[in-house]
Amino acid sequence: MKVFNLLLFFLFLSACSSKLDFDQAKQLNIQPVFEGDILYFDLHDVNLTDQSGSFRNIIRDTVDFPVFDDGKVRDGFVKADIEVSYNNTFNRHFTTTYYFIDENDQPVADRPFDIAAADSNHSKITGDAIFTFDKTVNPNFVNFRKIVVEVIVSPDTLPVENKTLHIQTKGTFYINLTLD
Amino acid sequence: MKQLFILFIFLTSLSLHAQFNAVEYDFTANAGVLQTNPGAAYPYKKLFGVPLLNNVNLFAGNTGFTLYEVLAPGSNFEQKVQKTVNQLSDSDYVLLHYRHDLFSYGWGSNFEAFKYIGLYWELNHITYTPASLLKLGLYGNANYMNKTFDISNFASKTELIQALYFGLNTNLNPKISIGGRIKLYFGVANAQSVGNTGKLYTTKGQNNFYLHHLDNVNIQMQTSGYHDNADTGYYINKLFFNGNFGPGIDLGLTYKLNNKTTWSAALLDLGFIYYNKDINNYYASGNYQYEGVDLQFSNQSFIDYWKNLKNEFQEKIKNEENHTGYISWRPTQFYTSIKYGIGNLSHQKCENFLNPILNYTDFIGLTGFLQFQPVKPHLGISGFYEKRWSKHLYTKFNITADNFSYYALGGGLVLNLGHLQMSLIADNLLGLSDIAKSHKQTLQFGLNFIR
Repeated sequence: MKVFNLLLFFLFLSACSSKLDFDQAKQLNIQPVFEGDILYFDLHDVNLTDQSGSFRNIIRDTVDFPVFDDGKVRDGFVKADIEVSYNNTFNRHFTTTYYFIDENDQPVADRPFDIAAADSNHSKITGDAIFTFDKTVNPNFVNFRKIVVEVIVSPDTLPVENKTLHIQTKGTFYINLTLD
Repeated sequence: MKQLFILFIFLTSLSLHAQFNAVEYDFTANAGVLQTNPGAAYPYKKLFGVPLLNNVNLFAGNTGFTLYEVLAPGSNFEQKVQKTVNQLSDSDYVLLHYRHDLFSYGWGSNFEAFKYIGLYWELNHITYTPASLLKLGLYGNANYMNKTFDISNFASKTELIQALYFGLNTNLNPKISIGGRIKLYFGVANAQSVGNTGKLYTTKGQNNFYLHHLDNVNIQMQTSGYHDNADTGYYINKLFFNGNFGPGIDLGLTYKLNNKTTWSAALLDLGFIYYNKDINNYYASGNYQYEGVDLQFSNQSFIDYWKNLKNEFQEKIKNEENHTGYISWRPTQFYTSIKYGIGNLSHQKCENFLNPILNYTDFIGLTGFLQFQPVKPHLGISGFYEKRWSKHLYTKFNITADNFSYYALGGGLVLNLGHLQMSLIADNLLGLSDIAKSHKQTLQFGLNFIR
């Protein structure tokens, strides 16, 4: 019995472990980058007339964006790159603006960009733009809950039938989270 | 010592699966050998396992990393986590096992089969740590836009059970020993997320930059016996009459190929538990594609895009919660071994056909192992050398390759002091020199009265 106990004791004593610091595992800092589509649209002539058939040179639409409802996302947000790509076959110039507005419909940021009109030499105008929103530059950016897309069409008499303005938008969000 | 204690608490608190017990398998001098081979050539006729001090088995293992790689002091924790996740594969997992006999008793004679009954507790936990899904959480998806994330690589199962068993072991003839054990499992608590399917990936979009896919998603989480106010006392009270039962069977066979060679095989834990108490199940299934919100610029009505998006997602990916009973399969294991007697014949008046260990002082052999578990089976092979020093002292040494390591040195010791037998088994002895840097560790001890 003594021999066995001694063996068990020896086995246990001979077991060693390098020092481990469990305290450091109480917090983990991660910096994921998420990328995904946000919105897109195809603007046709029918979108440029109201119910009475009158021409609308300013049109708007709104989409909720509740990602920043989450306090951890809000706190961990570092910056976002919103990338826009467009192609335009209208013979009209467009000024498009993305308004980032808060719960009280107040803008916390906006980004206008111009889209040139197509012409006889260029039947399709394509382009892209990247808008960066850095929390250190605009801390209020995390308060936005909706995106309003406004499109202003240049006044002109050129025909709009069978023309299209296609815009696509994605976002890359840089997060710095500390997990407890 | 404090580090060892903390390590033990950490491992056992990770809440649990049987494991490849290469040393115990067919170590016939050990009174507990029937637990891994019910058909072993069993040399004893009476058995009484000391209550609470017998067949205590602890195992902890992880296939892709060591604790030291993550928790070594003095360097940046985030960097260590990143390095660990980067070296993982999609089939790595953490496995914990704890088993403890409450009692065991056996009786027989030279003229009748050996019969035995017993009761044990078992706690098992397995969690797969698929690298791709961990990277998605750690780094986000931005750098993996062309990668497919396979949800089927994730599985987890934790189970606390109690098992009551009755077994028989007998020699059919001088060449064949067979044995079997029927079990009644009592499921105390179970949480499992197994059989998940689905792929998450992104392709080039038609209307937007990308098209994000959730294909053939089928995720399930089934739990029984968990609730917010559960404490140790709650689970102790539930050990028996908790309503979660299931049958099980263990089978074993030993065949003497010739005077020196025996072959054996065992199938363990072929069974299931039907959980139907304190059930909470969660399911999500379907297919979904997303390429952003399609703005309409309607001149007639306001469109709530976000609400529509949520509704569409909920229509396509169905969520369901229910309290319906479910089956949890036991982690069935298969052992096989070939054993060859060497060394001097013991001083016997005549050869003992039934208990070859009595004929030879030394044995060498090979043992193979297969365990069915979620995602990836546990495979192992072990070479061994077994020695009988005297009728009081038996030893066995194994070198084992399995999912956890390519070589692990294990040792077993059986000491008979009169009718009292003590056994000690440890696997991965070299790992004991630094448990924090070890991929697996097993420790088992037994205390039996035998005759």
